Amino acid sequence: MLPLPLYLLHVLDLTRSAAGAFAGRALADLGAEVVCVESAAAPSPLRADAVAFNSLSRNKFSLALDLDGSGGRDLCLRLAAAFDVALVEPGAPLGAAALRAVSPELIVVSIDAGDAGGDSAATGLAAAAGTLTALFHHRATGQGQSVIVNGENVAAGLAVVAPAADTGPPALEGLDGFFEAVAGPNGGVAPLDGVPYRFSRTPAHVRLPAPALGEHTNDVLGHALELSDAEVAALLAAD
Amino acid sequence: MSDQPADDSPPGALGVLTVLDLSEGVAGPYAAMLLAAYGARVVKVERPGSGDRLRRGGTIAGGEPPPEGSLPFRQLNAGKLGLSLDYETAAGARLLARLAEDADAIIEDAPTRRQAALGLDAETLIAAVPRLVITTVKSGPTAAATAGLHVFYATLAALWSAAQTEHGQVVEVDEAFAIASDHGPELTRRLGGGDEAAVVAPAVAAASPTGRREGPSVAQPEAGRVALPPPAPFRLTAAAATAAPAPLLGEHTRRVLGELLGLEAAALDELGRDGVV
Repeated sequence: MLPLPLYLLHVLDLTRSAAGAFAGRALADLGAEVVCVESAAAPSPLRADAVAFNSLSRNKFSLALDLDGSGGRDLCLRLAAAFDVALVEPGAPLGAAALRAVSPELIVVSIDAGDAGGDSAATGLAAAAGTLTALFHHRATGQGQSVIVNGENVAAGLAVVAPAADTGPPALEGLDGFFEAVAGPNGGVAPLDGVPYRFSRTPAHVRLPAPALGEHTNDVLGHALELSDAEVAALLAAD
Repeated sequence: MSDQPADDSPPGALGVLTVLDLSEGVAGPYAAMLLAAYGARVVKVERPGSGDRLRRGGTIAGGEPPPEGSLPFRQLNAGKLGLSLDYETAAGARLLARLAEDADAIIEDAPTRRQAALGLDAETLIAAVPRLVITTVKSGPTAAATAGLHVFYATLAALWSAAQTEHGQVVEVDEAFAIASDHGPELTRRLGGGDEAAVVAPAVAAASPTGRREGPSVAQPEAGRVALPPPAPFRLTAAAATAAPAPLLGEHTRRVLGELLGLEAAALDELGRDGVV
């Protein structure tokens, strides 16, 4: 069995919008390690809707880091230097320019969902595809770059391609095999929308339920920065 | 691929990739068009004489008759090389097999037609060309543009995997699943799922804008052979994007077969006389 297609791709997700969540989900579903940065003071606003959050955040990791403090921001920039990709959006506590400055190899994907509330899925998918396109460029040149994704442009492109209006969610009939059963922390099993592609050699599935806030803080900081649990604890306490 | 693009422009981000587009309609061609826009060499393979069914549909640009005037065809196929090839003939099938050996990916929506012609199912074809990615689009009831974005993304992911591991694979994108995925949270809610797997979430006031966007205006038909690609879904700051027009039916047949397969003029003439190209 081959590893998942995006195995070893490390993505730091600083977005809070549904479009950003769809982008991270597309990458995480195919094997990327997507680390969402949030904090107790500023958890992901998507957690307000548990069903949507479970769908959008499966296969992701959660890192609790206070980006309003300089200690948290410094840690986040150190992490970014060790990652391949950062997802950002307007108003993020760390902007594209600050992230680009930490490493010339970093791919920074700026996602501006705009007013395209109904098209957050398409905007996110465009951002995920832009990420992979920039990765091919990095493979050829060793250069990182910025990928600019604008929800209005994505919608305009789709409207040209197929002018028919979005007809909303499809009927459940005809979707046999699409949903997956996911185990919850309380022992229950619930259906969740699955990965929409069948890869013959690297089948992709829901591997992890949506993370609890900060569930992977120690793991992520420990691995990415090569720190012991005690060193991570000291760093977080100092923040 | 070792071959360089024929022109002198800086290669796009995907300049190392060669893709055969055997698909028709919307989702497959849109995905292949996006690969071309970001630098891949994309060869659109069409039946001699008739071509992609979309050539006979939609708004006609500049009063030009089919097969060249269709505006949606031109928008969905901008930047590709046009090869007319009847691969349901024995000679045509041999040429398609040789093209596949040089390709990184095939995008198709009629796998049985390709399989009957080559006598090879996708797995056997990949066994012969280990790095090959074959993306098969299963068409849904409606021509949904976002399905094309899914085909683009899934193909890129498989190509990335093949670049790392030297192993290609078959990727099946079911348009119905793709559209369902865009509505994943709503469908999961409808099934009554999700909550059971819920993690403890700090209470946050719900504040999500739900305003519907206005539909953007569609580009107007223009006379002449200008590139008419739809607005690009993303912009790269360090790599060029291309905007070449869609190919006339079979416009690059001699160039593709000559450059990629090294066929001589006499051989090309004979293929033309036999109706293979």
